[in-house]
Amino acid sequence: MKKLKKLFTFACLCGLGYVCSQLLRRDDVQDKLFEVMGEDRYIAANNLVHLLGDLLMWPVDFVRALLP
Amino acid sequence: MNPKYEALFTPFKIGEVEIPNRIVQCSMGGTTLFGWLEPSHFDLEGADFLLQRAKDGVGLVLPGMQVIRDTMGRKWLDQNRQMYRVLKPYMDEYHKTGGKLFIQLAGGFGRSMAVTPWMAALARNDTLNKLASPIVDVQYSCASASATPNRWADNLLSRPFTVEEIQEMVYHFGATAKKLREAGIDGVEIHAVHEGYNLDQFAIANMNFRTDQYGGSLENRLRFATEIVQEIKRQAGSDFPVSLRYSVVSKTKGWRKGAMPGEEFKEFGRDMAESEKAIKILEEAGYDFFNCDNGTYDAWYWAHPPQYMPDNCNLEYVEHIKKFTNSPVACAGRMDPVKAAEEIAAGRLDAVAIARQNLVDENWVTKIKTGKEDTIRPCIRCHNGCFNFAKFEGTENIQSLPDSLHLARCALNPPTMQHNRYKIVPTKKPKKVAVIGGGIGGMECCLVLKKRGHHPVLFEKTGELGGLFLTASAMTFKENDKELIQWYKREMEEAGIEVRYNTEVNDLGTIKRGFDEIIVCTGSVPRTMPQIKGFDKTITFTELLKEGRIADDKLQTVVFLGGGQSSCEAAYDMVYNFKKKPIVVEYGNDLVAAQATCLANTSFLRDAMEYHKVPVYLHSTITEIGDGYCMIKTPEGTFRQECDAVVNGIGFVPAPKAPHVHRVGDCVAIGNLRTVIWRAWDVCMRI
Repeated sequence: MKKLKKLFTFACLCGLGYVCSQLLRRDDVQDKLFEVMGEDRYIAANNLVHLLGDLLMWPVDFVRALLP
Repeated sequence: MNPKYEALFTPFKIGEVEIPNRIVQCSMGGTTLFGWLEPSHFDLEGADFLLQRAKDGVGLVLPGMQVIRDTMGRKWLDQNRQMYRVLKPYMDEYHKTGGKLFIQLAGGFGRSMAVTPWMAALARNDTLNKLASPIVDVQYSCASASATPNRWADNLLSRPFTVEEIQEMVYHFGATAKKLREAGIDGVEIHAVHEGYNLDQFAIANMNFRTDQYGGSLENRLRFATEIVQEIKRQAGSDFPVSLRYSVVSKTKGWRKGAMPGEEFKEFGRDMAESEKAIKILEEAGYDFFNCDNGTYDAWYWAHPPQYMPDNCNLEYVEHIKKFTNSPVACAGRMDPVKAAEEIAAGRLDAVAIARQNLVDENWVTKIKTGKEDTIRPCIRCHNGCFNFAKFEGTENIQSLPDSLHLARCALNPPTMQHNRYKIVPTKKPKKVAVIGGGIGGMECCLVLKKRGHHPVLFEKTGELGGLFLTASAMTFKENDKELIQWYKREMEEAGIEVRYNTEVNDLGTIKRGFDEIIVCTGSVPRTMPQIKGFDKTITFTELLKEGRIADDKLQTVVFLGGGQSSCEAAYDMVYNFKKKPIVVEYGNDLVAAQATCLANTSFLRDAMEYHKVPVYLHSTITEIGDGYCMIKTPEGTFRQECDAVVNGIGFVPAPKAPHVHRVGDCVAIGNLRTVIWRAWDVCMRI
């Protein structure tokens, strides 16, 4: 049961991450963030998100290359 | 089309493959189909960029160099089956353009591996390297023909490859070429006897001390490169074309020392006499095409010429070597398309290899074809976005991680290789935007805003557009910078953007009511050091360069306070073009000690200072400036230097900040054209 709960939480987090990443791609969402955060913080956060995205892709590419 | 370009648009053959025209896009690190340093994968951004280049009309595209074994993950390139499955339909689409695509394969970097501080730490420690080796084996990535010093890190020697490792690599070159051919790739290029990369380190006698079959005689030193082409022909078929990236001469004086244009010196690398023999051996081994330039990592400015190098800098060497081969030959290195067309028409050259211009203007071939060459945005060879591997005395490669992961982005054209991040999205709410400051930042803002459907109005306090870049571009050798300003002026005019000249905005409140948004792009002002006695006697770069005092006969001996890029460029212009006597005083331990400037550019300036015997005082400063003299304090003591002027080269500070408005350019933080232009997009895409 505990394992199931953990799995469910993990799945929810993944789902939430996916939804957030899709939302963040939208121009209207980015415009709003730019307005709320101010340009300096928005640009810094945007750079950080891109860097994290790049680094996350390394293990994904690594595993993909192993697929038959 | 202007008839002077006609020869560029005639077909030619590499082996049995016909290339539709003579324009070759050279490999640039980062424009890869299978990723750069990360685990190999089909790279969508690179694929899109390369397809666009073919659509523009480039005859032969060479994607960025692909190391035969992944630096990260250490998988051989032929082992990633999924990648080749995606490649096949991509190549079908690519071939609809009529263009051809060769993949450039490399045997690694050897001593040229641009190790970062953490990589150097791994490479120096056997245990750490062993632990990390399943993911990244830096010692393997730096392995070379022999134990030679790394170009980037002090006290780091390459380990020699074993014969088994060499033969394993040779096999995988063949296996990869076979897979590539099956996926529809038109040919391969081996990044072999070129630029001081790993395979070139085998070829150069002073970098190869081996006593086995891969060292000693020229034939032995070229054995690695010849075995590769033979293995490719064996596995992929004898009719599969194989190009060779080839440095005709190394232009290298020693470890980390390049030779200036026109300099007489003893060649440390490959000289012309050896090159004449080498190209024959390589042709006989099976290479079908020679894609040529000069240089090594020690003389990097020949292979990646900054703006200080002359146009067509490698041409005479390449045309000479063409006489020693029957295979077609291309020349790279600041090639002027008009000159290239002349040489091709005369039969002295077969193709022109152009690299960075493809990043700056995605339609430059089409513009030539349609007679609109005047509208091509020029490459200024800054390498700030595409290739900013940086190093100065005592550092390793200090390039930032995001830049290491994304080479081949362009300082002047942000959408290049990041088209999902920087794109023009038409606005739903057009606004009237006041842009204050007519420098590059201000003009870029106006152009982006206009393309999105806004109504920008530019306020410029002088009667001319260009801002501080007018000063930066004033040096004799900065023809491309001057062309860039002209390009901006023309674009502004064609876009119909309103410019209010001679209008200084001192109070933002006065224009707030008439505009929905305000963007301040007021640049920077020179930093001052009033603690130096007589500092007010210094002159600025604007006075020296833009206002023409550099040509003033009264100014013969000039001391530069600060040894940054601007000082070194101005000093080089003074000594080289005006035959004057500059002196550079730098507080730090090296000239141009900056993170974002490419080693190809900075090493040229450092070598130029040495070659032209410009006195350089490091760890030094000026303590007093008087009429006709200054006092220079060095670690050895303070002395009086007679001089006609002292130039304030200690840098700039942002112009006063304005609250509650958008800010772009040096008024945010001092940077370069890349930081200015990218920020202009970052802000203007969201307005």
